[in-house]
Amino acid sequence: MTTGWKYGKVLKEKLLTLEEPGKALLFDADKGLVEEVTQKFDVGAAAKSLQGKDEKEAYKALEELGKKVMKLTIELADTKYLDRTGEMVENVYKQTGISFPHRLGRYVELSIFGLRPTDRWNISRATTKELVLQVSACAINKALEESGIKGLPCKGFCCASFEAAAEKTGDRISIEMPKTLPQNGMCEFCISV
Amino acid sequence: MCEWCERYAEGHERWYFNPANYARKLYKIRKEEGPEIQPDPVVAGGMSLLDRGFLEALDRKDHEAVAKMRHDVEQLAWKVHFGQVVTLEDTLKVVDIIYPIALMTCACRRSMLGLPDEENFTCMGMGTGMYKWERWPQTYRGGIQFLAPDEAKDVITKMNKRGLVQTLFTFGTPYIGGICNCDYPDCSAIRTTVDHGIQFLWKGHHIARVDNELCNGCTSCVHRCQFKALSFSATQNKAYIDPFQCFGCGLCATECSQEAISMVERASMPALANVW
Repeated sequence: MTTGWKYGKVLKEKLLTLEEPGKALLFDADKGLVEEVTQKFDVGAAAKSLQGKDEKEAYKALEELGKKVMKLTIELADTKYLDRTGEMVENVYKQTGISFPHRLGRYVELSIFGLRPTDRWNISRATTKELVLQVSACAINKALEESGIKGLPCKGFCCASFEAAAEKTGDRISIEMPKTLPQNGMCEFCISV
Repeated sequence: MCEWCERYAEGHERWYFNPANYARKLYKIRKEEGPEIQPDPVVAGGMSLLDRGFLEALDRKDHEAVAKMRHDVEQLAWKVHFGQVVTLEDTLKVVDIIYPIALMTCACRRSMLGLPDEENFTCMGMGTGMYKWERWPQTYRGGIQFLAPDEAKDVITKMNKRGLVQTLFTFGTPYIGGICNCDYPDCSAIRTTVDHGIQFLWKGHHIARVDNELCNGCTSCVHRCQFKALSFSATQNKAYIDPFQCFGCGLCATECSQEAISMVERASMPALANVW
């Protein structure tokens, strides 16, 4: 039935082939990046420094912190701790011209691993239009709570860090939060382009 | 509604329209120094559990042994790696909720036909795992080409015109990581399902139906069916589709110049609603 049937062929100029077959490549996030970010930023100390401030002030301070964490994450992720997944994300972007969601998502994931490696979180949607991140156990939120800071000023941290990543990738994003801690059991960030 | 929709659709029309079934993290933290432990792709294939023992049990009509082996293999496959037939229309909708998409070689045709890699780019891998394709050098020895969604739609439409069935495959159910463009007997999932009754491949959500008023008996649809469901009635000079055997791929419908074959929802036909 299938003899002589034509199957698929690729454009040779677009074909990616194994560069060094057999060579072990590192695809996962480097522990070094996690350690460097964790050493540089102390979530507990940041929360304590906000004691006595109102929610608006705390929000602003956390926005600044979010930007700084993302800046360091990007710097480390693209130089000292550049992994093969990151390289491939950029290769794919060059081949398809589509940046979102994974160029941004890469920095978002690495920044979470870096500052709060024990958080429980999940990516529940990753299309070319929408990236949805759900964080159900958040070290920043917990630290603020323990320091007696009310409300959810930490969303300033997350949103500012995601926006800093989008600035780097050139994605024009908008962020919505249909779910927030503690009432919904998670913070859900719907990042869309 | 199929079992997978009941479990994983989460409010979407079908489970394969639920973007959560395609979304995964890019990263986990590297645990040990040195080379990472590479996942074994063979584990994904419950089909590898089927050996000569199964065929011999079939030959000697050992129904008990066959039933047990079939059960064991299906349970593993449904947990890890199985497929469902999807119409072209549904496949094109899926392309809009997945990224990245990569054209890759077909492992089935490589082993069945010995097709050279450069002529064998009929499968598509998708999702974050594709950024790590170099982890499996044997699977991807022919290389890979990443596609923008519109390019992927073009490729899938061409494959459909050439008579290849679109199927979605899980890689750790419910994570859907592949669109295959299959035919009989090259595709091991179709072959094992049709020839041995082992359900690696679930029927789709549609069934093809012939309108005898419109069918002109040209027979152009007959060769398109990969599931032995379509035959030609010489006495009536019409195409006939066995609804219990139809997998709902729609290849016959896309070939019919008279538009005599339409795809109807399986759920709308009580006798077939639970025939998967």
